[in-house]
Amino acid sequence: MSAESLRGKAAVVGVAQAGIGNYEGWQPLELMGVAVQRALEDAGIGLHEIDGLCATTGSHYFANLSAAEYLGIQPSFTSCDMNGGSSFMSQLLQGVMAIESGLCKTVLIAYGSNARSNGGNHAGLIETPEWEQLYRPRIPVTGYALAAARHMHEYGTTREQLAEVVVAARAWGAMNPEAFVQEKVDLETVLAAKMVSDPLSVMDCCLVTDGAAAMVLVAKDRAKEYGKQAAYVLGASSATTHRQIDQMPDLTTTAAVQSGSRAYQMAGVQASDIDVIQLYDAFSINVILFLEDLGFCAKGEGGAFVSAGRIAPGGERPVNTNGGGISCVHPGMYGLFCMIEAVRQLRGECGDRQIPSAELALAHGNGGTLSSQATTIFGTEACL
Amino acid sequence: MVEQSLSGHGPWAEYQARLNAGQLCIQQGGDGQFFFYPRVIAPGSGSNDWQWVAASGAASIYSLSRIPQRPERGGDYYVAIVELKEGPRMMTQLRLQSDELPKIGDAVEAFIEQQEGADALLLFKHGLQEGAR
Repeated sequence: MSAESLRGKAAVVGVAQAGIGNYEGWQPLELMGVAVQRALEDAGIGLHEIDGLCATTGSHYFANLSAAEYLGIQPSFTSCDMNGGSSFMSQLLQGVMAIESGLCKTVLIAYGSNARSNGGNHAGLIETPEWEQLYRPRIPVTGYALAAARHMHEYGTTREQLAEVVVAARAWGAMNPEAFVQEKVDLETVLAAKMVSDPLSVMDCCLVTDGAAAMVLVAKDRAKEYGKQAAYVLGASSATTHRQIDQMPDLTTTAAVQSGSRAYQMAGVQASDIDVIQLYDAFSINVILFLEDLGFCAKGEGGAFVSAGRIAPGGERPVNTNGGGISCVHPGMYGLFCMIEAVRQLRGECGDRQIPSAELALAHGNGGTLSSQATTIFGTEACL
Repeated sequence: MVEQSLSGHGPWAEYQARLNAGQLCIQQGGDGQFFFYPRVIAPGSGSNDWQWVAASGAASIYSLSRIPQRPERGGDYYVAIVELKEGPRMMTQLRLQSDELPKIGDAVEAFIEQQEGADALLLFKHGLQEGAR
């Protein structure tokens, strides 16, 4: 048995988002519950069929126990893999494994957070890295700022190039009715924004919103019974290099090199085959790093790659068509929203921001401070 | 292999105790590789064949972020990842010794800030003249 044997063995048949924005008076599990109900409706599956659960919030240490109790289900498989914002990509792979091995038949991946209305408590349960907190970095932004500064030092990447990522994200957000921020912004405005941790300004940072999301996964042979159009899981892999940023082996190269290469291998595709690119943009530098590390451009060329509107609406390489964490939604962990946009693109549901003839989609998750990297590749039935 | 004993305290407390006594020590594995932060086994190899070694204190800035802060709160400060001459990297805060602004690649020098009623803190000085170190 090899990792490749999991290719196409399961498919996403239901997705939904809920509570993106500011929903004062709503608890994380309540927002999650709304997303779950919508995802089940989207799939045409009853709650009683859910026998696999991967639930995450920023505020429940035993999130699967809390969510299973809240939903009133008793799943035979649970996974709470917790690597930060990329956890959902890891959970997807574990869901595929659980279904393929017969541990369960229908996996629900669900997330809920009230990080914005709860007063920006976006860190939730996350501990501050012990050896770093002594020096008062602004966590997590300083970690990413240190990576950006090193990338600028080694490759000549500029603040203008970082700002291009933000301008593109905001232009996509303006085309997404669900996005929390729907106003475009120009390069000058981004460059004039207040510095938080040099070289990253407040506009280089993702949003802090409320938000919930849910996704339903079944075996390939059941995929056509449910949902509108199945998105098959062709490849997935995760990798980690560190927890604290000062332990990262090379601040300009992330573990996306490993997770991406393994996911491509499982899927039997390469970067140039991918139609839809969704990258976890906790900060502007992420997009540049992941485009390089996932093989969309050479190391060091990410800054040039994102320039002149290439990744923006109308550009030749659309990235983060929902507006990403920078313009659409970021309730502490964005990974599930990232995968949902990939699935929606493959379904052709994205309206003005739809990428024509999208068959292969990559959704890449990031967790910690560039610590965890997890790549997923979805395809339409034609890709099987 | 050296048998690991659970008597006394762990490497973290040992590192801090030495720092509190004014000495910066890091661990060196039997293969010659240094590592930081303190651990019970060498990361990667898993070896418990290591010893405490006094670090030179010489380092260079690997990456750097200026964090803006209002003057009444102490003004801007610099968080850096520095690379020790021995190899390991660590996060720190820089203490500027001149008007020269720090940049990646600059030499820095470790110093231990003793704090009343609290553990000593390892910091790095930037902008020292050659020979003044």
